[in-house]
Amino acid sequence: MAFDDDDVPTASRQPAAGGEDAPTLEEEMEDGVADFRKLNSMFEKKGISSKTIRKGEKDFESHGTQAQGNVLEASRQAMEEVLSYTRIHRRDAWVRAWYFPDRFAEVEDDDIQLRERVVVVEHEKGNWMKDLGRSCPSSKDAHGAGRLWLLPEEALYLVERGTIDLWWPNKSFEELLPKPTASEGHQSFGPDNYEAGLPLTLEAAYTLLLGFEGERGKTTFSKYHVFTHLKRGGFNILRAPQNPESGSKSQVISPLWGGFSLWQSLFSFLSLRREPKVNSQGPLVAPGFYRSYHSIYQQLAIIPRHKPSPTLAESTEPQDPFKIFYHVWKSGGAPFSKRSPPPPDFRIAVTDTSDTFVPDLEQIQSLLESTPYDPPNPAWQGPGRVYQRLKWGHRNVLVAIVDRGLVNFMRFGEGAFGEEKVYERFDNPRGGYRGGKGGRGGRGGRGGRGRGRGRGRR
Amino acid sequence: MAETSSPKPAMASANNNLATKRPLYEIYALPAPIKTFPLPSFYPSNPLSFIQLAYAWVGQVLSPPPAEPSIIHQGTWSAATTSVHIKDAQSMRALWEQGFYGKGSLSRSEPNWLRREEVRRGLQEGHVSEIHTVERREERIRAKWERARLEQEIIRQTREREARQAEKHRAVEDANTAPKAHIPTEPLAPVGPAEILALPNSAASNLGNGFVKDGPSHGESSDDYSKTNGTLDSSLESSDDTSSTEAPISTPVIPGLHHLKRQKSVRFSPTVASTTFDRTDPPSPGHSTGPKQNESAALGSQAGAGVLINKEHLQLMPEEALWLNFALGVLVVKDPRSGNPLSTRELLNLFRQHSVFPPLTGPDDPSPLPDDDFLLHYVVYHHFRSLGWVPRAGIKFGVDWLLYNKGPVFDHAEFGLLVIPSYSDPWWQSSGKRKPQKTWQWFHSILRVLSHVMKSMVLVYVDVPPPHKFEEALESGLADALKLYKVREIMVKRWSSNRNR
Repeated sequence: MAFDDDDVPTASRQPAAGGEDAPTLEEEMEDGVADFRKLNSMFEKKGISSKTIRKGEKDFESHGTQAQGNVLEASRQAMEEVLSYTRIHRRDAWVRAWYFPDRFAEVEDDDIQLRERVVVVEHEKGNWMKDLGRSCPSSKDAHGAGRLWLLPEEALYLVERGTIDLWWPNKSFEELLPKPTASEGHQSFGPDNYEAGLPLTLEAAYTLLLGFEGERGKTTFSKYHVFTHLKRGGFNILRAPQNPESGSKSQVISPLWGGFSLWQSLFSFLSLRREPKVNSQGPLVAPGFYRSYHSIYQQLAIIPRHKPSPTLAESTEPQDPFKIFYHVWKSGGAPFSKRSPPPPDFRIAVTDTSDTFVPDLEQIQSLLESTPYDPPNPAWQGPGRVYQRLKWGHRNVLVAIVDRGLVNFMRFGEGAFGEEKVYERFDNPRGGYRGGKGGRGGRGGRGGRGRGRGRGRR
Repeated sequence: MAETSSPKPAMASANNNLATKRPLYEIYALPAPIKTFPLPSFYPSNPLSFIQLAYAWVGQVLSPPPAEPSIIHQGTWSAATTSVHIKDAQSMRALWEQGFYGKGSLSRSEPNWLRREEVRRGLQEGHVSEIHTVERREERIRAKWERARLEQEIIRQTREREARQAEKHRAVEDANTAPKAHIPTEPLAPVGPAEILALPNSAASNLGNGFVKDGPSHGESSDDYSKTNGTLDSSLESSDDTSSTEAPISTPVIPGLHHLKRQKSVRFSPTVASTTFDRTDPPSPGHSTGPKQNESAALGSQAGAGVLINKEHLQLMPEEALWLNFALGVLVVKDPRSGNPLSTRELLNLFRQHSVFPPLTGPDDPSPLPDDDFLLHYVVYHHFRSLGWVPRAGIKFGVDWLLYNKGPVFDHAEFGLLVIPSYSDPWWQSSGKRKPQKTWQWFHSILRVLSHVMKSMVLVYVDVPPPHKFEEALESGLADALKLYKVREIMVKRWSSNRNR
């Protein structure tokens, strides 16, 4: 404890009681530390019931008691049970999908990204289709109209999950998947018919469906990681439409703008006369007699401040990888419709640590400008919620940073400190200049670090 | 910087029983080193307030107060420390109290060395943040020690109980005297943790040897362990029992246990607290330890003869000094050699030259570009100061600036600012200026530090004008040059899919 930096200024602050245990567990799950005892309890096997599962203190060394050894052994046993669980594929739930990479190679880009869809599902069974795959419209493919086509990441995810059996076709699309109407009594090829095609291994599926940035019909490893990460987390996820949302950008209201700027110039002419002349050589604050700090700070404002606006005069097109790639919805609530999804909860761009850096201003700005205006909640008023307003920002976007398979999300928000003029408080000292309690609302219950020794554990 | 040292409101209220203590809002009444003279407000419901208002107005008209800023502080440039030194005691206090400028050279932030020294020598009763911090740390160390002791106590009780159970078990088996039917037919390779623990020379086998009186072979003790592992449920129950603290019965001396304890690598010495350095101590080793009471009494009698001389000065960062000089006009910086005051332009050049090391003061050195370190940081400093925020140096947390809402005395800094230059002007692209490429690893390491102290990260992008425009504007004045910069803040927060489901 000899250095200041060792000392956490907040360490003495005790976290609010209650609701503290859940996030810790979540955090551990997030780090990939699955509690197998918990998993095991879901199988309802002979093992340990979930009642005995208690997240306790972490032991850092063996202290030679039997109790410790027993807990460790119980955990190991639970893990073994989970891993030795036999997975069964039932015949009636068997779903075959075929890899047809060039079926839509010539199709133009459209809103359902048919060009990128390379896997067609033969049997449509199961409830996984609520946000996966899109059916082909008859205008694009008269023969296979209505068939469910998957994007590479969707297909790979389903293969990895064991939901679908991906096959390499030996016959043409028309032979394998005839029109349902034309072949009412036609028996489709069975699971053992290797003349029709060959089942692909997981390795083969990875090889066929993963590629480099920009390859048609393939996805990158990092995008696939982000997709599966969120999918396993229970989110609904779709690729963002390639043509950007027309709502946020083309709202440049030219006639109004002209009128507005006329007014503005008129006003600026008027306000220019009221504005005190700033001595550019300094000091900026002219010596004199001041009734308020407001008039002092007005003279100090020389560096242009950013003013967030719902409409954008001009914006640059976001460039890969700082470009929204996925739209993500929370699960729960109203049933999700992949055909007409609601506005997404999160917009995600995917980057990889190996070939990208922290974005520069142009990159982050164009990325943020491709998202809709999302100002802080109007209910967050007053000096007590300054931090909350500032942290929310006026637009926001998520950037997934994939580091060799580890997915990490960052939320970038368009800050506007210029909207929070702290000096306005100086003129009414009773309005909260004294005392430091006002702004501390944003710090929530997650501040728990009562135990100093757990500091380095993650 | 002033995180831990600053007295927090809670503490201040705890100290309010001291009659001499001024409340914080009174000490730090002025948010800037410039006074304002607001007229008292008029309430139509209270006609007397009009008289008050008129009186104040007439008073101000008849004898107008001196033009603000009425006090101009004096500072001296110090090239060796790249800072501006303020030596006058009143100026030091004023600059600290009116906007939290600078840092005491012998203190953590607030220049209170003299007061701290007086309190230490017993000349003055009072509250000094540094002393308080030291006390709190010692208390924390004691608490940690106590916690570790309790943990050890619980482990010891568990061991004892297990030893008793093992003994009972053995007694029952001895009574049976039947040949053991369930001895493993052949020795298996040790795979489980219990088996490995039971191997000779492991800690557990030592434990087992200590418990058993007859000194059995290692094979038997391993047998004991495999048996207990076979019955999972009962052992789990017993592990649960550890939490329900039975009243500690008499503590029999168990040789194995004590042996094991001695093996522990981590030890908590009860003398830890007394061997820590006192923060207020000078670096001479003679003062570092020892009973404080006697020493302070002795020093007090000693100091009764002579008066303490303030050895401390306030040091201003170049950004702070330029703000006070150029923006507010409350500071004059003198050249250390000639003693002549430096103009704003001279000051700017000096600070820009010294923003790199070695400083570019030679005749052949290139003149700095508009994206030199000093200007970038000054632009950000000016931006936030002009909005009323209190930026202070953030090197301790790996950032460029820490941003306080009211000041380090009142609140914790909520934001850590990282200054990143941006070159959007086409001139920069044609000149082949390389964009700053910061790795994600750099980014995450700072974010991790900041989240540890519960601050949020703000990327502050400063858009730099091209040199020819900048120089042109600088001719007419620094304010015109600063108008060419643009500041954009990007708020950063880690997002977790688990917490946003």
